[in-house]
Amino acid sequence: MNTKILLTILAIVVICAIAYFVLKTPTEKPKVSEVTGEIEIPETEVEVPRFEEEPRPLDLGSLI
Amino acid sequence: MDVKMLSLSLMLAMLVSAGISAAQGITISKLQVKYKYDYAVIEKYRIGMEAIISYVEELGRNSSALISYKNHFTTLAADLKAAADNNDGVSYNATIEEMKAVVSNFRQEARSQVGNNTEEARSRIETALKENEDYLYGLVTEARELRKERNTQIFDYYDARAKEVIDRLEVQGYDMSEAVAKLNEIEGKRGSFIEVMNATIQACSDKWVGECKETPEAENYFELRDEIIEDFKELRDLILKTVLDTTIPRAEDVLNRAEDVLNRAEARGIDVTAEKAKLDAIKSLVDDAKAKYEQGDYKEAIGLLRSARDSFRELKEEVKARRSGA
Repeated sequence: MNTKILLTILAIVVICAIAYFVLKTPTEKPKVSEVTGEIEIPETEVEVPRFEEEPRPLDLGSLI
Repeated sequence: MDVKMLSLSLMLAMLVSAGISAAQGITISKLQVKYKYDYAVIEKYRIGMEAIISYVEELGRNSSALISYKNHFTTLAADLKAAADNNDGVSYNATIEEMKAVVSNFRQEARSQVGNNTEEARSRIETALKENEDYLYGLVTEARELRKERNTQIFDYYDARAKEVIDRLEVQGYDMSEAVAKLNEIEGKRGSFIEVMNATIQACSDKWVGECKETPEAENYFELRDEIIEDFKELRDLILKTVLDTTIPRAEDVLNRAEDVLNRAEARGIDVTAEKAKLDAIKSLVDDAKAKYEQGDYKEAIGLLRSARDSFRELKEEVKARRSGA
């Protein structure tokens, strides 16, 4: 007898739980609109040349 | 006939592509130019060593160790060339140090062989160098010619790079007429640049490495070189100014729209304190860029705008994450 009651209660609880999850409607929170656009910077890499200069003469020491 | 035509076309295509790559790349390295100058000095040492060896033999003394040092020295000179061709600066400097050690060993051995005759040995070296004067100065001239070629390649390379940037910006709708005029002005100086280098080489045909700075021809070269460098700086600033003229107002517009979005969100009761703080920081970067632009510091202005761009991208991502999150 007790077992039957318990099983009935359990079945009701399961049905209620399923009903809660199925019928639950999500609550929409207000959201920020999308931030669009882009700070566009094109490639502007113009370099200044470094020309070659005459080096100092090599010094390996004296021969005598 | 068809085969001949095909071969001719192929050769022409190869010549054109070789010309293009020569105009766009720097094929002569700094180290190869240095080696050319160093080689003239190395040859001076070799001739001096040979003069000492002959003198030692004339004195009836043992020259075998000196010959061995000289051979080692010439082998190292070949290693030096290989290091220069491989653009291996570390190996180049290590070989120079080895050569110094060989010269030091040669000196000790030579002193022990010539005994008290060091003055005569020095005089023999001077005579040998005098006899080979044309050859040695010819080597220095060759080095100067190579330096001229490298400098011409550097000029062409930076010219081509600037042209690429101008063309790209033109395609993007920027008005590049002033930059094009400046680049044309620079290109007009190419011939004079080569001429002053040629004149300097000719005027310094009897001047040793490092002794070619005081001639009027060299001064003309320095003057034109500095002028060309200044021209490139002006061109760089002109391009940056043209870009900033458009980019700064556009950036301000983008930030104003973003501010509107955040203000609307705030009016709807959403907490956007963090996003607004970030946006204020970005606006401050753009304001700083504008101030630098007005001071004529275009390079700094572009740098600040880049930072603003990166921060703005982050802000967009953060807002996006908030939209898709809970």
